Amino acid sequence: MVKRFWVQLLGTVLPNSYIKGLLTGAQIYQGPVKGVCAPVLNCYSCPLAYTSCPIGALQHFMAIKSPPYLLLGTLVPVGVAVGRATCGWICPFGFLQDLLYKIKTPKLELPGWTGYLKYLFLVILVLVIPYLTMEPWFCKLCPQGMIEGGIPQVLLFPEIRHLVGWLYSVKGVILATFLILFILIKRPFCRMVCPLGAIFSFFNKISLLQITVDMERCTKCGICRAVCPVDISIYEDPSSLECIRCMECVRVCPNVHITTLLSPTIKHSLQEGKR
Amino acid sequence: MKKRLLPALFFLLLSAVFILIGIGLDDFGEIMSNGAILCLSCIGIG
Repeated sequence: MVKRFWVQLLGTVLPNSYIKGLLTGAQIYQGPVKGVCAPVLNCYSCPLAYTSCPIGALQHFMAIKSPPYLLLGTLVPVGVAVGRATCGWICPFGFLQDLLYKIKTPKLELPGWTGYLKYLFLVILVLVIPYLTMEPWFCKLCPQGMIEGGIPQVLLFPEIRHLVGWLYSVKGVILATFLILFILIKRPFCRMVCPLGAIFSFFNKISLLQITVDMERCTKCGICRAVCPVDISIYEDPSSLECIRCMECVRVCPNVHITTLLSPTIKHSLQEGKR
Repeated sequence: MKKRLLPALFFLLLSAVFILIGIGLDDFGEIMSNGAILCLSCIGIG
């Protein structure tokens, strides 16, 4: 059985393994790999980050008023191939949310309409405002930037501590709020805020990797929703924009299948561990 | 399946064109130089 936990752990550690920087006192990695945007929300100001953040890069291109050709050329094939699967399998921030939700507390549900908010964040904070102000405003408020960049940079490099001001406090409050929400709600950041998830969601309808449900056998028992990290019932819409293709529903239900263009139906080893 | 193949092929073709234009315009260097500067916005101090 493919253990998603280990893939997520690899997805978190591999792009953030610039240990040499810590040993040599470098604030960030500045080599050629920084020209690559990993298809996940991973802050490029993290002292350990090798790759660039696609949302940070997108805002940069908006600020310099230049079309992000290469960025689109790398993100679109990922979306076409697997839809939002990168959210479910390799995003470090998604992994953090999955881990914190495991803490046993009473849980809350998000209203369905909140899923549309991420498209507003994408258009307003990532595209329009950076274009008008030439400042990356999503970055200024991003809790992932605080975890991976803000806190480690200020802890490791005392020379920048005097620059800490109101914005740092605002980011701290946003991060603290989300950390609490992560414990109470399934992936609230992915569902409400993440602009990268919003971009990839459009590809769920046409991606080569799809989920199908055998509706003749489906009893709508709800087990798919119970295990779903974004709280959807997959039988209602197998190519839902919200689905992060984590395949948890495939793992627990014999009536949910993975299909690809190359192999029409793969009922595969995901379930073998259950038998 | 064919219904999905056509849009997928269209987007893949479009991506290839974007990549070629991006390489021509040195987007790689632009992303690299942007990522190689410590982003003060990301860390919340600017």
